Amino acid sequence: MRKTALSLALAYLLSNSLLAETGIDCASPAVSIPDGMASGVLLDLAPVACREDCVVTDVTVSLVVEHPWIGDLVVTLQHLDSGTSIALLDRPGSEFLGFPGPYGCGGDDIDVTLLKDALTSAHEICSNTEVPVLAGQAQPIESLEVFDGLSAASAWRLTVADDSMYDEGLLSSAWIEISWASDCNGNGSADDVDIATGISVDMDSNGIPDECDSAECPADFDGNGHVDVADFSAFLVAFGSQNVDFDLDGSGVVDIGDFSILLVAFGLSCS
Amino acid sequence: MIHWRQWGGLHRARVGGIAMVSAIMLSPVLFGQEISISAKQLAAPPQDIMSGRLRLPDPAFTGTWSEYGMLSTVIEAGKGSRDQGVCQIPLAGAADIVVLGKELSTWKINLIDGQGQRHDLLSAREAVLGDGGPLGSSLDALRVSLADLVGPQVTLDLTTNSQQTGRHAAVVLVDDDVPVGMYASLNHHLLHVGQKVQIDTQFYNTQNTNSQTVRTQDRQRLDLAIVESWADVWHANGHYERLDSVGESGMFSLDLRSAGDVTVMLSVRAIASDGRAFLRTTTHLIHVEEPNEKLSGFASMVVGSDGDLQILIGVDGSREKVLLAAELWSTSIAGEASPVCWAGGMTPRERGSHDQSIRRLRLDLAWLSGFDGQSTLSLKNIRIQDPDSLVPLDIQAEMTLDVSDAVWEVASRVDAQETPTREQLMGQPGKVRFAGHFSDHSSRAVGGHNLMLMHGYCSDGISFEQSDYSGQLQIFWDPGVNRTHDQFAIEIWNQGLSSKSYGLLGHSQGGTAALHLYTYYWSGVDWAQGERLVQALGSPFQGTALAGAIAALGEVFGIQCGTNFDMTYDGAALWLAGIPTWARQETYTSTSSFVDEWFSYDYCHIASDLLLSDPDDGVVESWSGHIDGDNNLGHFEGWCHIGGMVEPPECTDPSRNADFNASAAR
Repeated sequence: MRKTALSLALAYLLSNSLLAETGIDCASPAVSIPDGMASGVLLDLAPVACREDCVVTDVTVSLVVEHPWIGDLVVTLQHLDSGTSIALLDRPGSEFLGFPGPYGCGGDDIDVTLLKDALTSAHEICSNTEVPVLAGQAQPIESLEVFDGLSAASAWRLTVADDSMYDEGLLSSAWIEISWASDCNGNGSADDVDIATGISVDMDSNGIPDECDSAECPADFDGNGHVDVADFSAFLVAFGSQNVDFDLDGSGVVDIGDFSILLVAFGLSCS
Repeated sequence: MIHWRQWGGLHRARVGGIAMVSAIMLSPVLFGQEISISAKQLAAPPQDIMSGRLRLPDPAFTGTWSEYGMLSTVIEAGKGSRDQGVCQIPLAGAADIVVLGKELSTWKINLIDGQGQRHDLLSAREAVLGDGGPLGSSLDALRVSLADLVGPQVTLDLTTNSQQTGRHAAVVLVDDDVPVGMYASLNHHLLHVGQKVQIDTQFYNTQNTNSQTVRTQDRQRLDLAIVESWADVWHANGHYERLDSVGESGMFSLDLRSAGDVTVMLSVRAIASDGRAFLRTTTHLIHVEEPNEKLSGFASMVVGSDGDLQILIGVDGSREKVLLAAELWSTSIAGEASPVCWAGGMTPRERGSHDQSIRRLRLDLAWLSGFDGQSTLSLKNIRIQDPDSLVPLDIQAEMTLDVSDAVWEVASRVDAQETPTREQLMGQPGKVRFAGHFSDHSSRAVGGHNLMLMHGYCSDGISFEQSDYSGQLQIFWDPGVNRTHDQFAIEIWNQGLSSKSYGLLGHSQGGTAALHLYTYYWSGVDWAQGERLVQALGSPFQGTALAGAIAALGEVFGIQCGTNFDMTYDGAALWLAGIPTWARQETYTSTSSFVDEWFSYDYCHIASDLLLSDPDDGVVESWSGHIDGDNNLGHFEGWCHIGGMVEPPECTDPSRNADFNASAAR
């Protein structure tokens, strides 16, 4: 079942200037969560299709779970390249010692979007009348901000585990949304942020910090030190594709914006 | 009837096939944590106010009745003293006589009637010798039925075995055929150190008054000649005194000298209309509180930071926890007063904005839907009670309520509800907490949805026949212990931490404590699913005469399991006054008694039978095992309260156990 879920995973890119989002959605059929097993269900997200210098700017996780005792559930998200991992949910409700008690919230079902700036913690929500008990927007138990600045060109792993016996459930849907941006100077901060905050200068207004412009020839695709006809020919072949090597503006598509950068750079020699 | 679980619409897919939780695994979750118990914020609709169900009881109707006489004697055997005790009993005609003592079979027990004829009771044809059962299993009980005794007075001659030295006590119960009963009640329930309490006695005709009417105004009072009356009083500080009645009125005035349990054995010797002399005795257990918690006279209503209505009531005192309750009333511009709701719950002491001591009642805003600020609000029948004894610490008939403008603003935006929601009636978990505690009595299992089987007061730990149950079970284990209802409920909660959710099936006090837990505290019971959250078998919801009798016997024979005011008629009535209808509706009650044959004199226990009105199971009278508003599962003959009685113990009834098992929430 786990492989089935993965095979159904859909990944896509949304073009939006220098920012992009990608997600994984396992929608159907639902995946059974092994009862009382910490190993749980693993969902792997392939690396985001962005240049090596792209960094994470935001992560949002949406979960739909049918489970009669959500206090059993432990959900973690791991950035595989760095090994950074956080608990999104960890036996929610356990903080209410005395009630629901040491077994977490006994309410039914989850349909929640976990994001940084939600008003309420998922662990503070519990009711034995509302179904789904955990609904709407909520903050995960550990902050999603730990992923900010990490390379977006990494695989991710979502784990949904049932850590207590006697109640079993299904993972109906999981959606991970990763927002990312280029970080050409490798300072862990998106280029647009660097420019906006004055950390970097962008004299030619091409959206790329000038230190990156001078450090490389972005259109020297064959690496011969010159932006020449051979680079132009290769660009025409890639035009319209999602080939990140030719996506000079990081929009997700090789398009007219990239062509404009190529024209500006054409004929330059790179040192 | 309200079914909460339908509202929630919970639909569990629980793992089946696990027969019983018997694991002794300790849950790692439980170690090293301070667990707090979360109290409910109770509320009830106006019907509960108008019915009087949530008002403190009138002590005139929570009294004790007696159709028997009780005498005690102490024999100091050896050391040159006589090893003989003598009881003079006003008696003529037919009677059942019960003697309680230790190793009675080695004694000589003779009754000498008015003509000097001697009856050897131990060798009498009708003699039945057993143990004291619910009155003390370490005691022997001898019961003899005698007819045509010549009076007007008989003498009971008790002689111990000459081998026995030291102090020996005996208690004699006499149930004659004079058709007169005695009813004795307190004149108030503000049982505080330094106060006086009056015990008033009345006589009634047993031929036209039964256990259902004796505690009502229908009781027909007989005016009889009282020859002598006295009260043996054992104060909480150990001091003993004998009181005489005020004149020959049969009325006693008792000084409450120290906090704790006071035992009173009240006896009246009187002459019936047919000229026969008789003795009637009532036993009372009275719990006395220190009067150290007082309503200070101010109350205000505000909107809390969490959006709840909060009624802040000034209470001077330092108790960690008290039960606070009040009625909320509105008065229209036209001056018409109407109840809004009742609010109550266990409350911690807090410091108010001006450093005054306050306690806080919380209410859902929905109770004020439809109010526009044109009405005025007030509190009525405000009371604070000790959480264990339920003795009122202070009461006030009415208080004005200072209502902030914010209350009216938010109230105007609240939608009206046709029926109160669960949140309106119970509040929300986590807002009021008290320190929990751990005991290691529980066999802790990890998780599970269980039916918890619970024994009662001072039990050997054995109650329901486990082989009659097929689903997941947790066995409550707290043998040989005497707890108040609140303490008992918290122990259930404590042991229940080993279950994710559980329904409750309690025998005897286990049933009353189960209802107490469900009413006052959030627990795994509130997560349980199934038809019946609380089931109770043979539970003294309205008290039992044995609570007073056991206290009196404890004074004579030495303390056994201890006294328990919550199970007296007075204590139970004070407790019931805090149980709203919504909690009663989740409670299913069943009672038992001996098979009542028309041709014979039947009973469950040879001694306790004299103290209880039929039908009873030897401990609990049938009427007391049910309450208004509950789900009455019926009364079943052929079963008694515990083992060692005439019929088998009710917890082994396979038919009822099957029903309890099948219908239990888990």
